[in-house]
Amino acid sequence: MSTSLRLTLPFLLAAWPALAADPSAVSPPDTKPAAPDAIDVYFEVGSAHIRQQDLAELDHAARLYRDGKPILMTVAGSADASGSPQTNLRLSQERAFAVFQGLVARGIPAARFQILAKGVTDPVVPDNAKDSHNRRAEITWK
Amino acid sequence: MPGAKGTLNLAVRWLARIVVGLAASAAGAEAPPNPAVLLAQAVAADLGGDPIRALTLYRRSADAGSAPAQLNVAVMLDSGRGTGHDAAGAATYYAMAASQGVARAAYDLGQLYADGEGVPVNAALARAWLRLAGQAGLGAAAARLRDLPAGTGAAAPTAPTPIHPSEGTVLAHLTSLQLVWTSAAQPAGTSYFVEVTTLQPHAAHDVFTAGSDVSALAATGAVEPGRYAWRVFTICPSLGRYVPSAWVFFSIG
Repeated sequence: MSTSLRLTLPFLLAAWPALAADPSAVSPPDTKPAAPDAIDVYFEVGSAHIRQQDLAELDHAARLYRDGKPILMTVAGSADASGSPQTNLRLSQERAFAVFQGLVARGIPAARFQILAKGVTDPVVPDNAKDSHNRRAEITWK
Repeated sequence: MPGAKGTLNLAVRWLARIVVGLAASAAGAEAPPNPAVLLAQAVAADLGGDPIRALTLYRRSADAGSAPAQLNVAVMLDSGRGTGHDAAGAATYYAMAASQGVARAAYDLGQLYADGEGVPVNAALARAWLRLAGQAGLGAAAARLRDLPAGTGAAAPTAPTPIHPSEGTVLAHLTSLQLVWTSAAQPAGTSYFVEVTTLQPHAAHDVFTAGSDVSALAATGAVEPGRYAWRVFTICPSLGRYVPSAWVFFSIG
């Protein structure tokens, strides 16, 4: 199993938004590849446990993956601003890893993953750093 | 400038090229498709950003028996990424791949039967496919099985629906014939029984029969070129009843 486990520092993440999905993008049917997309899995405070209701998100993500393109799945874990920076970085890594394990358990080859721990550097609700939506792991592919 | 003799030589060389080209083209048309080559071409087209061509090649590879290509076709049709969404088509290709032991295909097909996506809702088939996925090592299958609602069985058995090969299909030369059907919910304990009969070139007789708890299987004994017919039964031991589908006629080679 050759898993690419990569911890990134905030200053290395400047290019990350370019990989994220545009949720408003609607691809025309039948003729073009679907636009890049993303699936988010959310977590309880201080937890990297995937909730029962989010298992369906993993099933959904796994059913989008094929040998060919997308060729790489990226799982990026994030934390809200509760707790110390070290704790948040570790938590974001654990969240990303839990999602990675869930996708591998659904048959996605482990070698096709990139795992990122983003700590608190990429909040979806920047105005409220403790917002529950900031406790997530984002699955994207390219 | 070439003289008359040179012109003649040139014409002869071109004529020879055309004849050789036509012969090669004819030989190529007759050659059975190589699933591995088609799969490699499909992946190259896919990575090159041409999902339409990729799907065409994945399909040709899949229809020639490649399990990875069958999974890829299923995922493309299921996700609608690179083509239109086609849940029924996805279910068929998932079943073909799963019948060849692709655990991920079995897991995904189990979900389709649980949700009635592209196939009838059938909790027993969902369980059977998820169980196979788990036995093949897919860790998520156990949790999915645990969370699956029991579902309600039907009071009386009904005929399953043959899906692949469909009526009149001419299949390429195969190393393994995948048979796919769907079924609505059946009484508890129902299983399926498949019968494949050769019609030509031999006198009609069964060449493959097998029972199954799932909705697809691979028949490795029925791959000779010729004309065939197949059907599938629901077998309900608790009620002492069985119900066959209609015969479906197809050809190989």
